[in-house]
Amino acid sequence: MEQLKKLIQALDIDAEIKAQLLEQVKVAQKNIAVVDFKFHRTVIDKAAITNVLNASIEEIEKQKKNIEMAKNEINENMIILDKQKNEIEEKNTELNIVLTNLKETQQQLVQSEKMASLGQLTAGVAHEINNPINFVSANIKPLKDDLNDLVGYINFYRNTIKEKGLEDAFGGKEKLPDEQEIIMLFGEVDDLLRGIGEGAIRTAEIVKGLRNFSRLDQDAIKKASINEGIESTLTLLHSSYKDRIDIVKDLKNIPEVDCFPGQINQVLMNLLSNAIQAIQGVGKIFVSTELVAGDKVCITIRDTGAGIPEEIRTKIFDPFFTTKEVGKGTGLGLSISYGIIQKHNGSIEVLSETGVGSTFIITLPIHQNLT
Amino acid sequence: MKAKNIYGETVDEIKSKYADATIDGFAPTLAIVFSSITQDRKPLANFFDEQKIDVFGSTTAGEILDDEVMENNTVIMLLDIKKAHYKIFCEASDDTYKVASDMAKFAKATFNDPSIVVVSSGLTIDAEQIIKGVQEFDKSIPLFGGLAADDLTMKGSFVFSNNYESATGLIGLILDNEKINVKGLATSGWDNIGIEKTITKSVGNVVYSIDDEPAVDVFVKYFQFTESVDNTAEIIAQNFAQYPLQLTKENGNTVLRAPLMVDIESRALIFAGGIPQGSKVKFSVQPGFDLIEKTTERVRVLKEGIPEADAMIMFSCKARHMALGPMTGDEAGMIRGIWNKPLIGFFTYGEIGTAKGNTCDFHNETCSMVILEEK
Repeated sequence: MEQLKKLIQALDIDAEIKAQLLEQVKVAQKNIAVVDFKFHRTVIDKAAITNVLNASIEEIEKQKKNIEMAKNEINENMIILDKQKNEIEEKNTELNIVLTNLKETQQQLVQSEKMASLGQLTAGVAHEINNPINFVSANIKPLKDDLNDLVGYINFYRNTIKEKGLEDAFGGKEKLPDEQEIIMLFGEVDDLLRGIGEGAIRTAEIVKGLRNFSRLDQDAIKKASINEGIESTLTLLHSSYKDRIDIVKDLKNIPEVDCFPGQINQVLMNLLSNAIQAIQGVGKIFVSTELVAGDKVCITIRDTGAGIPEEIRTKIFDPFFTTKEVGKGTGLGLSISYGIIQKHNGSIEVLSETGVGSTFIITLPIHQNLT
Repeated sequence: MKAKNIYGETVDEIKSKYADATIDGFAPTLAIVFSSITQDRKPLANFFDEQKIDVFGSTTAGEILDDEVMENNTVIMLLDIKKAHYKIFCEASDDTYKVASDMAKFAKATFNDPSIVVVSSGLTIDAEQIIKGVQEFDKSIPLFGGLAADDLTMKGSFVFSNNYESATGLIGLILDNEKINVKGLATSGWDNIGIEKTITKSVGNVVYSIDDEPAVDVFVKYFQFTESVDNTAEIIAQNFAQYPLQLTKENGNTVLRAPLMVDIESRALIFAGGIPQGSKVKFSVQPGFDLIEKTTERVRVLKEGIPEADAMIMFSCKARHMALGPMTGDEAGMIRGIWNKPLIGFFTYGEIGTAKGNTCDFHNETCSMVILEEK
């Protein structure tokens, strides 16, 4: 370029043209410098960008691998955690079952203890009442006989007075008792004696019911009559349903079953009590027993009460579940009953319709090996 | 306000050009003097002092005058601004924050509504402390400026005034906003590239390790294209300064930090601004060759605030000079063409200004423009 400038300077041309040429050379010189600069800068920048991007890609690949490894590790840990979670859940379920069983057992033990105490008390009371009521029952007939004898004597004396005309000795005929009055008096005495007799029989039935219900044999398996258990329980509950609930019984001739009689009576007491309480005002309770499949007995207790709402039907056998007011129910009756029937290898199921009533069906094997 | 630009390689040449400039009765009160480290500054300052002209001066890494880029020269903008409309503040201290705070106090004590154009040493001063000192006193004071340079010798850069020169101090040109319309903008154009890296060890502006690798080794791995970097600071600057680190500061500002020097023994890089340890950074690459047009368009926005400027000051990073090469003058020329008024500037070791969407901050790789108009 410098040589070109010298050449232009040396040219014998117009000064203005020479100046223009030199200016053009200057512009060309700058343009060449710019192109040269751009070329070199582009080469260097390209290398720099390539280096940085390659390193970035390398780093990203490295991080990607690390992430993959971490991901795998996390997945493995997740599998282990899932396994541990399942194990814990299984253990938890087992523990819950054990806990529920423990609670039920505890409640049953408490209830059994209570029932045992109540049974002892009831048995004692029944025994103590039994002797005097026997005296009453046993003495009614001799008393009646004596009274008949006494009536005979009185008739004899009246006939003698009449025949011998001894009325004046007794203050005149009008002073002597009228024959009709005597007949009425003896009739009243007879009614009273019959009432005493019936009372004694009724008392004896109650005592029998108490003794039967409070069997002191909960811990020993025995053959027991379910029908008798039902009768005893109804006797004991009589005051809570008389005059408003009609009990319709259909108790078939069924064999005695192997059971803990006290516990089965407890179940019958719970179900019949619930049936009575389910009926507000008047209603009916149908109680039936029957032999099923030759080796089972089925007890059905149906009431015409309020029924159990569907939303709580699955909860009624849960411990502490109750629809009764606070303090009026423990929520343990059905739970304990369920446990007792299960323990007897039986089943208990419920059918219910709101506003129509509920039916509890218990099935118990006749023979079993209970410890 | 009228502005005239002159330049020269010797004091005598400058005196001669000064005489030419004032022959028409032009009576300047202020001289903005940007001078190569090779120039004799003292007799020049004395000459202006004799003329009762205040000097606001800084050494450079290349000078800009209108659309010309020069080296080993002195460029001067003569302004006939009324002395009541500006003040010069000079002070040197090891405590840059205090000096900056004193400057802000002086500015507010002098004018109700001041702006500050500041130049300071580029090698010994933490420029972020200048900004902190001013902003913590009064964040409403507009602040612009650049760090003095020394032609990449990295031996010492100076700021100077009539009877003052310092390698550790600063000079503030305090302008009365009620009389002088002052607007400014810092614009970069560098693009970040690659994945984020972490500054794993740093103290102030010295970065020892990046992602636990010695900082020098990281830059050598990516950006060494010439001879060994173990010898001269100039090589370091030429190789690495064009690939600054970009970081987002706690105040939300995104700034670039260019490496200026290397500590071979510790394999550390000394940057033209602080990079806190733990910072997340990315490398940046030089912008495309359309940078000049982009910068011009960004600066043109200032024309809305100042339609008719009297003078322009450009603080342009030395790395831009290296990135634009022979086209650097074109950038100055196009920006000058927005107002078509005298433009003076120099290539710096760091710029102070406000980038679009940011608050005032210390930058590298930017062009920080200041536009002046006497009301």
